[in-house]
Amino acid sequence: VSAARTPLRRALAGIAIAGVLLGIVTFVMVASSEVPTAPLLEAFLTLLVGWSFIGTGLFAWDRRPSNLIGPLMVGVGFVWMLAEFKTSDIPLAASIGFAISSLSISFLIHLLLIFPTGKVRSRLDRFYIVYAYVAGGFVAGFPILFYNPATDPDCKHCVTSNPLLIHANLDLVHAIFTGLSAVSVPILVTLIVHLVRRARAADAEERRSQEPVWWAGLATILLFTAALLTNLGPESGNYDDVVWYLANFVIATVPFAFLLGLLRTRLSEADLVAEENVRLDAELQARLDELRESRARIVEAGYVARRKLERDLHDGAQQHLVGLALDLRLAREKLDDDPRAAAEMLDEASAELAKATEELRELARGIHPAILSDRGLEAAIESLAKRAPVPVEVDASLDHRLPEPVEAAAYFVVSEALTNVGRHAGAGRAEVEIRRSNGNLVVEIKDDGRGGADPAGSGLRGLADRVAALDGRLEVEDPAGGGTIVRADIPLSGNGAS
Amino acid sequence: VSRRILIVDDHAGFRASARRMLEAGGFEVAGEAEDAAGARVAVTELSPDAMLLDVQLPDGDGIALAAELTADGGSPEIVLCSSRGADELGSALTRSGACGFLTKDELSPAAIRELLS
Repeated sequence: VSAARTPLRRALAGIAIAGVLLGIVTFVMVASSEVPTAPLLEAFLTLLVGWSFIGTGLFAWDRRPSNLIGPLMVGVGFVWMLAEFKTSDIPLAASIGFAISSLSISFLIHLLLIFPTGKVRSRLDRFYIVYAYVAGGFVAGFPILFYNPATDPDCKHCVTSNPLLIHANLDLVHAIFTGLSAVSVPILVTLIVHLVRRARAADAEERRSQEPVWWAGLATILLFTAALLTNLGPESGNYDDVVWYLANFVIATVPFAFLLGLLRTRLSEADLVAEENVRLDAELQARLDELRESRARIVEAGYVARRKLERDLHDGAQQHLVGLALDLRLAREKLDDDPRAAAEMLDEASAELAKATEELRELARGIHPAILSDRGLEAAIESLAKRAPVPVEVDASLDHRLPEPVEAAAYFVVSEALTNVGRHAGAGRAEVEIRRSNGNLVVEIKDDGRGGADPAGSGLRGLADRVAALDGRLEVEDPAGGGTIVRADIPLSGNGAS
Repeated sequence: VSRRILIVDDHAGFRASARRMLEAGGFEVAGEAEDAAGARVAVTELSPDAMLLDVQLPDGDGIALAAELTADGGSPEIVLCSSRGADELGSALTRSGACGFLTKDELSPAAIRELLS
């Protein structure tokens, strides 16, 4: 199952790497900036919150791939760290940070409303979500176009320029933020009431999954309040900073609450089906890829085999027959003048003919062994064993004939494995075992050689494809005691057997 | 006229058969080579009058070798041969500078004599 989910896992790994990189960039940027009061602490806290959200979000994403909660949590982590760019002393980074500094709150409100199913439940919920993104993403973001930090008396340590500035108007910026707060605070209050009501209406099981998120909700609101207080209240020493740092510690625990709540949630039937579909899709995709590759390899193997056959015919039997033709013609010419020489020529010709016949017999057997179709797998394996370069013990117990494709695949597995034993293994002896087991034909070839066969080599790869075409499996292992074991497991049903 | 001929083919069996046949037909076999590199050396050292050259050599293409040798001038006359038919070898055969082509089973002293000028 985990292997079939690799496309998702791969994507998550990519996001994880991006999150780590962004974390490092943010840390370096904030820690080296002169804007924050305590740059190192600020950088550390940012990393703590950002990575908490990304890490737990990825975990949730992996566990509940069809639920939006995981991706949203990851999103909070990224936006959180990007927003911290506002404390950078690089002007463009600071401007971007300012522009998106409220977006993580939009994400959090979205999270609270769709928890734990990942789906929007009502039109009212949809209103809150849309409002959150419009207010936190757009209305809080676009005033950066009119904000000139150089003219802001509240901005003591800020960067002195804003590359996104198109028209400086500090009053407009203040007006927008005052308006935003004036509208948002009452809406937030109704949101809290809405959520509290929903919680009180929850049954025991819902409550169990929602309890951890209460903490998350409270902490989110705490953060928002703290942010509002620091923005609206008078400048009073380190008070702002202390509130802010404390809020950070609280916020870092929020994603764990979401994760805990999510994992406590029993999946509904529909969700289970959706999860299963995601998993099956991934499995199907992996299987399709594998099929596509093996089909290409089988076509290629067929092409290579035909080329080799032509080459073998040309280099072998045909050369002997050419020699035979020349010798016969020469013998004919010598017959009258020099009968002794003619007789010698005819002997040569006979020898060439014998070689040609032997080559053709060998080739024909390579294409398809007649003994296999005539007398069955056991007899064919016995004959392979006799011609093998090392002594081979055959242990076969088949009571009757098997489907032809299965017999052929098994035969070529043994043939190739024994050829490898002779060529590479440096073995002294080999064993071939053939048996039926649980509706499968199991073929096992063991030798006592040095092992180290390469399953990705063309011979074994071709065999694996051939076996896979019958829905079987080919395994190659080097057991602890030395030697090599090649094992093919080929199902009989679906391959012509009842 | 006695012709000194070089046999170039990677199959020892064919070289032996061809040698017997050519010698029986009144040719002098100057030597044998089994690949293109050996053929170049033999042409320089033995200066044969003619050469029976296989189209497929382990280290190269007999047609290309024929073109290379005849391009210089002063090369031996070349008869290309193959166990494949001329139709499988394409038009390169006619542009090789060789004076003729035989399939291997057509080889006879008379056929060689006819192709050599």
